[in-house]
Amino acid sequence: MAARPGQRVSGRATARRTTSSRPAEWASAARAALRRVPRAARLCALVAVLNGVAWSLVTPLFQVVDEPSHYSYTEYLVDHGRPPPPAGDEGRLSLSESAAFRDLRVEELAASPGDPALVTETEQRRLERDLARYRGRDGNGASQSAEPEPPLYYVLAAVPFTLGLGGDVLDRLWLVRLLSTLLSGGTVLLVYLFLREALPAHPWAWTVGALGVAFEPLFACMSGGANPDNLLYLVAAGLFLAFARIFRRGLTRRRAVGVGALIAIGFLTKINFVGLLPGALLGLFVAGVREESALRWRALRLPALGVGVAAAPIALEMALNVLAWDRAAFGSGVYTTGGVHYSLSEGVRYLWEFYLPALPFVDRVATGFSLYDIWFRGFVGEFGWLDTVYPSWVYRASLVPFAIVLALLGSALVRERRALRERLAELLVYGALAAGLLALIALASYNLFAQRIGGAAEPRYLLPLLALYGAVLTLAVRGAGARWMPVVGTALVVLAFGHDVFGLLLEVARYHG
Amino acid sequence: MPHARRVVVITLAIGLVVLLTALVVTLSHAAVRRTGSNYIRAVQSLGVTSGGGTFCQPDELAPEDTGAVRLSLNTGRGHGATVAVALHRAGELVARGRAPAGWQGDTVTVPLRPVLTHDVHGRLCVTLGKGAPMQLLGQQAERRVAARSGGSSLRGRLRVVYLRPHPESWWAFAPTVVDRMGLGHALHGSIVAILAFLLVLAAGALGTWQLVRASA
Repeated sequence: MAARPGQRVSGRATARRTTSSRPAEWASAARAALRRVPRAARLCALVAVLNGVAWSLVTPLFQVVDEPSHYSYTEYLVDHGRPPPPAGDEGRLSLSESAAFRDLRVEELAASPGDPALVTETEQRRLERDLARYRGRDGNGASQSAEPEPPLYYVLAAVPFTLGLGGDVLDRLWLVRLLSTLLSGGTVLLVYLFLREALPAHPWAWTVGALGVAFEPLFACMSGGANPDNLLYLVAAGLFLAFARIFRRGLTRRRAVGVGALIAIGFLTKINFVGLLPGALLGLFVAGVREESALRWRALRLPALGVGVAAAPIALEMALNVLAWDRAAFGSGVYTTGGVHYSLSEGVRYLWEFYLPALPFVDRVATGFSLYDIWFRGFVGEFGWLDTVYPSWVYRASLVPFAIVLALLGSALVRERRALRERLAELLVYGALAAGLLALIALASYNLFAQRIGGAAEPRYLLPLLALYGAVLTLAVRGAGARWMPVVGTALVVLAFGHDVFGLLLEVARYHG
Repeated sequence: MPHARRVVVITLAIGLVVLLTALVVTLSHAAVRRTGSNYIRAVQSLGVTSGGGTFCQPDELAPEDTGAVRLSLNTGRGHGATVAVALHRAGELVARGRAPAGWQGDTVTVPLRPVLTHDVHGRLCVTLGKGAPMQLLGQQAERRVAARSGGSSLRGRLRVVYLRPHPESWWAFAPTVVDRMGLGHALHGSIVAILAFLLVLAAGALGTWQLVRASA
C-alpha cells in the first residue's frame, strides 16, 4: 500500500529509507529547527557575525589577547590528534608561527601601544618570504597560557585550521577567527531566546537587548579573535536560556539532559566554566524540587539525570588526560594549586578588593584593583592585549548612560516587584550562576597572586554573563514606561552601535594610523 | 505608520545624525600621522649627554612618505639643544633635517627633507648640539644593532618614530590607512578595509532595520 504524502510509513521500508536518507532528514530537521527560531533572533545573530568579521579584519592577527597560544594549541591538536602535554617553561612555537610572530612584531606591538602594525611593503615582503620559507608546524603547543585548557574549542577550531592547511599561518588563524564570529552569532541568538523566555512582555525590547549585546565592543573584539572564551560565552548563554525555559515550562527529561549536555560542553571548553557549575547544579536541584512540589528523593531523579549526562564526557576527558595524554586530570600550569600557600584572611580580603573598594580599616592585599579602572573601563572597551584604550574622557562620559540604564533598571524592578517575588527561585539561580563565575575569577586571580605571577582581572572573563547584560538592557527599556520605551530602546541601540563603530576606529587608529 | 514605529524612526534618525556628526568631527581632526616606528620602547636610559656629539643607529627602516622623525630624548626641566638627523642608505645621504634648540619634554620632532618617496633601510645618525643634559631613551639591544658613537657602542637603541611631513585629517590619510590594513593579513590589499567597512555598515543597517520592523 502506497503511503500518502505526510503519512508515516513503518516497517522494513522505513529502515531502508532511514539509512539511505538520514543526512537529508537531518538537514531537513535542522532547517525546521532554524525556522522555529524567530526571524528577529536570526537577524540579531547575523548582526553579531557581520560585526565580528569586521573586528577580525581590523584587528591585526595575533593581537587579540592570548591568540598566539590558542593558535599554537590548535596547531598541535591538528598535527598530533591530541591536546598538548604540559611543557612547563619549555613552551615552543612552531617555526611557521615563530616567523609570523616575529615579522608581525606581535610582542613589540603588544608592549608598545604607540607603534603601528605593518606599514610598509618591505615588511610585507619579508613576512611573505619567511612564511614561504618556514612552514614547519613543529611547536609543542604549550606556549604561554592555553595548554591547561580543555580541548573542545580547539577541536572545533581544527576544522577551519585544517581547511587552511594549503595556505599559511595567516590564512589558518583568520579562518579560526571566523569560527569565533559564528560562535558569537550563536551567543546573540541564545541571548535573544533567553530574553524572550525570561522577559516575555514587550517583544520589541528583546531586540534591543540582543542588539546591545551584538554591538558590545569588548564582545565584538573577542569574537573577532581565536579564543575559547567565545565558545564559553555561547555555552553560558545556552545555560541561562535552559534555566529560563525550565522555570517557565517545567523540568522535563529532555531539559535535564540539555542542561547536562551544556555543563559537559562548558567543562570541555574552558576551566572558567567551573564558576558556572554551582549555579547550574543549584538550578537543577531547585527545578527538581519545584517539579515535585516537595523535597523528596524523587525530586532528585531529573537533576541526577542531568548530572549523569554531564559527568560521562567530563570523566572520559579526565581519564584521557591522565591515561593517554600525560596531562593533569583537570587544570595545570597557572591553574595549579599544589605547593601554593594560601591564607584565608588574605584570600577573603583579596576577593573583596578584586571587585569592591578596599575597606578603610583593613590593610590592602594587592594594589591595582579598582571597580572603575578594571571592570568598568574594561567593559566600556580595552581591546587587543588590553593596550588599546579610548581617551580617559570617554570612560568618564560613559558613566552617564550607564547611570541612566541603572536608574531605568531600578524603575523596572520596582514596578515589577510582585513578579520578581513570584520568580525568586529563578532569580536565585541566575544570581548563583553570576556569583559563582565572579568568585571563580577572583579565586583564579588569587591563585596567581599566591604564586606571585600576577592576576587575572580581565573584563572579558565576565562576558559569560552577557545574557544578564541583555536582560539589564531589556529591563531598562521597560523601565522607561510604555510612552518612552521606543525612544529609550532606540537610543540604546544607536548608542551601542556608535560605541562599536568608535571602538573599531580606535583599533584602526592604533594599529593602522 | 503606527505611533510606536514613527517614534522609533524619528529617534533613529536623530541618533544616526548625531552619530554621523560625531564621526565627521572626529575624522576631520588634523594631526601629524605616523609612517612607522623602530618598535623600540623608551623604557631605559642609554646615557646622558650635554657636550654634544653624534651617534648612529643601524638597521632602521624609514617608510615611504616620512617627512619627520620623533626621537626619544629627555631634557628634564631644561631646554634641549639643536638636534640634527641624517638618514643614510649604503653610505649615501638620503635625507636630513634639524630641530632648533629650545624644545622641551621627552621627545623632539625633527623635520626631514626631502620627504621619502620609497622605504629606506639604512642608518640614522643623530647629532646633538651642546647644551642642557639630555637623556637618550630606548631599549637595551645586542651590540651589533646598538647605536654607536665614535668607536663605541651605546647600551641599546634609541626609540624613533617616523612621521609624515604635515598634519592631516583622517579623511586625507584614509588611502594610506586602507593600504596598511591590507598588510599582514590573510586577505591582501584594499579589500580588507573595504570589506570591514561594508560589514559594519551592513551590521548597523540590519540592526536598525530589525529595530524598526519589530516596532510595528
